[in-house]
Amino acid sequence: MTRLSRLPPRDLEALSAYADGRLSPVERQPMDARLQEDPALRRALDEIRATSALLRALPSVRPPRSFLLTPEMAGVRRRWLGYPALQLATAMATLAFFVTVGLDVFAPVAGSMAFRAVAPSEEMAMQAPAPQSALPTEAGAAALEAGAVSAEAETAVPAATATEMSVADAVHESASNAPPSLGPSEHASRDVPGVGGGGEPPPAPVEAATPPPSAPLAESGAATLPSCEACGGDQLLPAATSAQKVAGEAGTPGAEAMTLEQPAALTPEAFALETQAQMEPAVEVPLPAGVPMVRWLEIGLAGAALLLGGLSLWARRKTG
Amino acid sequence: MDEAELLRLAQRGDLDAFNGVVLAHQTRAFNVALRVLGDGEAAADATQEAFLSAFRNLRSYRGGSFRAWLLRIVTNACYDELRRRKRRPATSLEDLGPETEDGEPEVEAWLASTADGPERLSERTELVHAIQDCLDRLPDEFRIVAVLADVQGYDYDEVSSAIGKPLGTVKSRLARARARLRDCLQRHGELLPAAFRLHGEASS
Repeated sequence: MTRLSRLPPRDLEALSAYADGRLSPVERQPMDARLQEDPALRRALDEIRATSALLRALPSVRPPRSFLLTPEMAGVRRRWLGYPALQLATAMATLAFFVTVGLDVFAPVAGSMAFRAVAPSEEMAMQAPAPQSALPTEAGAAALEAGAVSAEAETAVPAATATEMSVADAVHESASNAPPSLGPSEHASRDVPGVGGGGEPPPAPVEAATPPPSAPLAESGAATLPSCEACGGDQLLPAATSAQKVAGEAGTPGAEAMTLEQPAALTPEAFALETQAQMEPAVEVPLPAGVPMVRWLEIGLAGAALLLGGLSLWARRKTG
Repeated sequence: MDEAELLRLAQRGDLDAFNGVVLAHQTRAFNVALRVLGDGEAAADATQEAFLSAFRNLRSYRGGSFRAWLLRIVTNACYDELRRRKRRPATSLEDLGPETEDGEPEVEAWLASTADGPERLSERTELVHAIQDCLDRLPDEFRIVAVLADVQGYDYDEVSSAIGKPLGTVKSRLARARARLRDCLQRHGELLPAAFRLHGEASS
């Protein structure tokens, strides 16, 4: 009995290919002749054929389960079209919330500067056009302008739809517009930054540029700080307390008017009161005027962020 | 809808279309993996992995024989599993030790064929076990060629593309795999059906 594995490898390969009909005609003819003469070789070929046939006869086995791919396995997610927008809105609400909290922290400092800034820019306030004429697109830039002009900005901000996104837009816009929006007098005074002002360092540009809808006084003051310094810090008038009171009142209706979708909205009454406050001569005392409103805004934004986040999660689960 | 159309849709991310293709190929793919790996559970995992990989890499399929393209992926999934086993010799030694006792009941389920009567079934099952046992004893690269060419009947060119080796390598590995299988199967001579009684056939 021959063992196939004892065959010369060349013969074994040739026989194996011969069994499968894979020998070229040139190789096949000599193999045919050898098979005629050599019974051992014939037997080896038969064994190869029988082995191959035995393997082919192995039954096909039914798979134990189906291998169909589920969307989870394939990583395919049928996304709801509004999902990215919802995510963006969540991010914006969260951002707005943190910006507001940040401003809340800095508000007392900025507020004190704001009221010092009012006096020198008062004449500009007199020349300011009627608040209602402010264009929505100017909202961001206007919000940053000198104290008196900020009255105009405040009308503009509510006009600018005041969703989370528009708040953020206003932030960016005003940030980029900040330097050009400074008046000529400010330009002159910018050559002497950090002077006067009770020795307080001027607020960082970003803070100055960020318009917290609830703290317009603070931000406008921050922007006009140099002008105030130029004019000297001694323009304090006794009307401080009354202005403070008016502004404080102005804050409350504004907060009430605020909704989740319109965090920057101010009621007309609030606007009028604040305008009045702006027209009052300068005040130095840091004002708690915007504080209640800031709280409301913070709560509102936090709520909006949570609500939107929850909606996003729900949408993700449902569509995933 | 024909396969080409399903594949076109699947390439654009249509999972349902791809699943249509899976249905057409899953039994063959599973059987390749089963004979190469000799273990139903591992074969099922490798097959699943192969289809997942096929879907993810469907863009690299540029027409031609999808069967051959898929075969290469299934073969690679089997190689991956074999490599994993080598990296964890402890578990594979356990598998090898009581192979004929412990491994049996599980394997039985995969091997059972309902087409035959009870007594022929057990005979057949034993034969199938003997063949699988001999396949399992082959070196990996010989076993893969024997499974593809003989068990599954792929032609040399398909096997060559599946294992990524030239035709000459396929021929030589197949010849040596057959010789070793023949020697191994002779030890189970009494199990072999009359038609496959190698000696008798050869000597008459």
